[in-house]
Amino acid sequence: MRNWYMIRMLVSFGVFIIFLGATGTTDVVISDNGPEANLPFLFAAFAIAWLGFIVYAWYLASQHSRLRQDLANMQNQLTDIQNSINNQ
Amino acid sequence: MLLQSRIMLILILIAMTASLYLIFIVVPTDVNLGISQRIFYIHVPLAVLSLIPPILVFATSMVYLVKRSPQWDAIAHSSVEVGLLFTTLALITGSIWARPTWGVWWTWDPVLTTFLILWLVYLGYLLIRSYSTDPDRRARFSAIVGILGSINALTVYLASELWRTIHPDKVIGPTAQENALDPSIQLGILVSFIAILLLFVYTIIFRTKLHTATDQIGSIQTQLDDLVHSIVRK
Repeated sequence: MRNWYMIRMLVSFGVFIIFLGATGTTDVVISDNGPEANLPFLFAAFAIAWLGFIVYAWYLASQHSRLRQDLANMQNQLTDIQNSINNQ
Repeated sequence: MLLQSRIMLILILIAMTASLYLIFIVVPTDVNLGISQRIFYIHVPLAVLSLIPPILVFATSMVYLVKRSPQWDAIAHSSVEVGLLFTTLALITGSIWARPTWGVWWTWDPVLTTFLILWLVYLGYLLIRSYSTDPDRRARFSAIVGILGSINALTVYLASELWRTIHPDKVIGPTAQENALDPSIQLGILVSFIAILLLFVYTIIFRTKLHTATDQIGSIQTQLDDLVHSIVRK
């Protein structure tokens, strides 16, 4: 389910890129008033890259914790089987 | 957490800190492109490393089709997932750089278009995996898609040789121009590349281990369920 959500998000990103391509000739105001004129672009690029890494790390961590939960459930299941065998 | 894992994380942290220090404090601002040129220090490593997963996928998928060992499928799947992350970030950072430099967020330049196709190949690979429920069939189909899709990575690298492009020249690799970079910029790119390479390697290793563990736990769970059913029947 979560994979589907991520795939849908990525497909939306692809559509967005194509949309940008289609509207690529729109008027653009480029500020060239100084060496630091494009600071927001630099900030956005680094912020998005780091955010991407963090979101993926969070996704891996959630997968890892789900795995631990599955292991704990299996442990409980094994204990139940052991108890039922002992009772017999 | 294993010792190797901790050492790797510490190395990543050191390299990342060093690269950020170089990018924002040491490296001079480009006279022509201004401060937005610093986006290169993250965009170039991301874009270059996006071309590594296709090589891994091609090799591991071939081995999988011959040996049918799930560990090769796990490496291929992990490589594609990490490749998708890197390709997505390379596309976004490239687009942000293009806006102040070229005046547009996106243009259908051969390098950019082939790169977008690579991104779609990664996405297609993951979609095929999510459709199939049978593990063997899923691994077999995705291996075939992985092998065919990997060939596209070659067109990304050779796009600037095959077609006219406005994308800046390659700075890394066998067909890169000599002295393509200013020496002051080279150090920044190198340290940034090492930092992101370490992150890339660590992520693929971690994802592969997670993939293998998930498969093993799933298999044990099935055996356990069968055991429970046989006990209940008795």
